[in-house]
Amino acid sequence: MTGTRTDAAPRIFFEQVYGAFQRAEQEMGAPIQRDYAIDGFVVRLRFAGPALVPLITPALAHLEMPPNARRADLTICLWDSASTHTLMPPRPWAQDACRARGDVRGFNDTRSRTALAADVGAVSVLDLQENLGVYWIRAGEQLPTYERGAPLRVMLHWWMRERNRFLIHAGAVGLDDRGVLLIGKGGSGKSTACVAAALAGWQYVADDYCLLASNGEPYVHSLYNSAKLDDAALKNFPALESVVRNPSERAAEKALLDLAQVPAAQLTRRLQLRALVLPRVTGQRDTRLAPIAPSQALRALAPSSLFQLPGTGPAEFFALANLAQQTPCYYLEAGTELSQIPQTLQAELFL
Amino acid sequence: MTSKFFRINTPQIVHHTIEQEIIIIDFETGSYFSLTGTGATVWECLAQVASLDDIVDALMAQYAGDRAEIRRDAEQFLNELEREALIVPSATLPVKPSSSAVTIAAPKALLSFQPPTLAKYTDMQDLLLLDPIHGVDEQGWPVAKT
Repeated sequence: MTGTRTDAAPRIFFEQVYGAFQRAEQEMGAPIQRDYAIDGFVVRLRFAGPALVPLITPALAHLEMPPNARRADLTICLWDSASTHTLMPPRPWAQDACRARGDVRGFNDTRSRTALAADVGAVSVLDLQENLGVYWIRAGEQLPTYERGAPLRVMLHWWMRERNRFLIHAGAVGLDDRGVLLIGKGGSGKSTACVAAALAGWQYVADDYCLLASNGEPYVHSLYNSAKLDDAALKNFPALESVVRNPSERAAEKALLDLAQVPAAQLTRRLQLRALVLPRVTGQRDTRLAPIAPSQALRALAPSSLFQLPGTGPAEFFALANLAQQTPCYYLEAGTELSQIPQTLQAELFL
Repeated sequence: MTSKFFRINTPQIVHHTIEQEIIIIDFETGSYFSLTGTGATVWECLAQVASLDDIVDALMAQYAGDRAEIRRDAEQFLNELEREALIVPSATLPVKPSSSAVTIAAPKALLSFQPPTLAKYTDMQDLLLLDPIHGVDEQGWPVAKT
């Protein structure tokens, strides 16, 4: 949990990691910088060397803006030890200080955030006062598909939540700038429904992670242009084989799709939410919508969003509960005739 | 038990009421829970710090039933909530002493008392499970899986 004061330990660690980044950047010569617009904020990525650029930036390409057009609101420095030959400072906490969601006990306070993604071996530190983050990984090849498809989630979550925007585990598609939020745990059919809609010409914001802004009318903002499908789901969309980013990893990983390369898909920055939709695969041919209680939608949305990120708590839960209460909620009983999914959503929600 | 006070086990637990249903999320275990009816009434008492007596008083104010049975069911329910680490003994007392600490508007007609139940969901626990122990390098950082 986040502390309520500023401590020396997280500040010292931040300075060490940022110092190592600066040495790595110097080692690699000219800085590499990319700017992205997310819900009106400019997020600047500063890379020490080129190794991480092709791994991190493709999923964000639809949000890229001209460099240095505006002052950055948040700057994230990225580096790896393998290509920069720069060592990460020693881990300053005991091994058991790292919690399941990546929180590091004793290294989070009102100013500083620290997380270790143990599965990836990546460290994220953020100085909320300076709006400066540093992301480190030993080697780019350690980044699994799901990180390349949705990079820097922890950093964006930390920074955006201070601005009442919350990174949530949900897909979003829409028509005429109005959208539906597809909720549910992994494997529930979110991605299939989102991809089916995208191929039918719908606006596409996300299949898995997006940013919720719920002050007043609820909006979702796009973070990533990717979608992920397992082999069985991908067989339903043979046209997408050509946009699989990770063909060599298909035996072990989901297919990572670059929807920016799909002409029908309209990558969209934001949608105003009209409904929450919880897919469930029925095995029947036809698709239909059935109303559900807001509490059922909240149970589908909140745990899967809150458990995936460090430092989530009452603020996120309240925002999601508020969303479920002010937005109609439905089951999407998804049939085998996938073209019916967007047709049913359109007929029921957008007339 | 009678004079023991309990509170909700925050910050490990977050909870929210949505249309008479209380959703509870446990960040330590990855479980989440749902309470309705008498269970929700008990939880609302606990949100203000409450003893078993406070809770029985609050239930009697809203539901028709035998006090001894209500007390027995409430005690069992408190035990279950404590076993799940959703509540913990409270060192601080309610702001107001004894049963007056819990003020819940009484309905016009008393409802029939049903024993409180805790619906538990564990299907998201895998999101919280720690990765198997990794090796670490000499700097202490996880070594990539091969």
